[in-house]
Amino acid sequence: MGKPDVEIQTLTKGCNEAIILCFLEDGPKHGYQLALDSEARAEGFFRFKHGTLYPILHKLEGQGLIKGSWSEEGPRGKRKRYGLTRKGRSYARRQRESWRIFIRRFLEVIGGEEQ
Amino acid sequence: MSRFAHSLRQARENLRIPQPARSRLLLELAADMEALFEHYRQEGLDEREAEARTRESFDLSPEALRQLADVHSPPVGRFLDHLSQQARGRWERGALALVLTPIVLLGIRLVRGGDLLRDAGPVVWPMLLVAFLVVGLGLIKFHQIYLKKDHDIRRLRRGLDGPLRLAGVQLALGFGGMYGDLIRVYLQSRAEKALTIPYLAHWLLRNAALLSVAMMAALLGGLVWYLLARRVAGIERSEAALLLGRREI
Repeated sequence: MGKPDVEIQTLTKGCNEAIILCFLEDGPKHGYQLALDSEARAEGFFRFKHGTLYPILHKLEGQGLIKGSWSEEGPRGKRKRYGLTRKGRSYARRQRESWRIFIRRFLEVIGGEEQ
Repeated sequence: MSRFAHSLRQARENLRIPQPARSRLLLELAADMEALFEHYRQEGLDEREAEARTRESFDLSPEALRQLADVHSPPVGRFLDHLSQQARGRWERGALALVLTPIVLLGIRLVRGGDLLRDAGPVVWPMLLVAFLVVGLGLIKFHQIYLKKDHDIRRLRRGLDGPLRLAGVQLALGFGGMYGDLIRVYLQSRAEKALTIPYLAHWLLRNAALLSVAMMAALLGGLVWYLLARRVAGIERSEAALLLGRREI
């Protein structure tokens, strides 16, 4: 079993990034949609404040993992949607596996792994 | 004007992000706030409650603002944005015109004389082709901005960096041509054992001419890009200002 690609020091940030990347695997989404979807899927367990979301989205965009594009929709038009790039898609897969390993190891360490 | 103009104004005051990234972020926030508001309305909330919940959701914490500033301020980008903001001043524009006018006039004179093009060798022709592409791209964007008055940011941004990239191609062609010629002369000198002074002088003249054309053409590309990018950034700021209900942003 390899070492997971998850940094303990920046756990919250890494967790938010992984959630965003994995949600975008379903297809391109607006920033506010990502926040709503995460709340809905986690049944309120995770709550994204939109203020937290934008720095992460812009950072991921800067790293070339996601790509934002403006689209004409809605009464006011011009909304920005984010989609995964090819690099982002493979990174999202690796992240999912890393988190799986991390959580399993973590539960082993604290002695709470379900058999 | 957006119903969230007040919140957006507050965000704008606290965002330490250079333009045009700041305007783009505000436009993005404004659009998403409107969309979230509509979502809450469809869920059955009344207008006031939907507005309050949207505002609460989009509250940018100091930590988020700091992270946004970090993301949007890479050294090169900050320098270019700073340059663009500085050049908005009347004096800076005047200084730019003062520097560029003699260069452009000199360029026209040299090209019209024909000596420079003849001396620069065959590489000059692909460079001229690229220069025509720059002019063509510039004209298309000029038509889009000033004649068609299409102020759709997404369409305006498409291909905007083209002249700058082509300026890089011009320089690559110029320097590539020069090094290619240098290698050719070196091989020739090894074969013939001796090169005459007039031959070397001609080589120097040819490559000086080639580099001059490359730099003038690259300057043209950079100038076209700069003027277009400045105008598009201005349109973006106006769009954001409209949403914020301000005259300036």
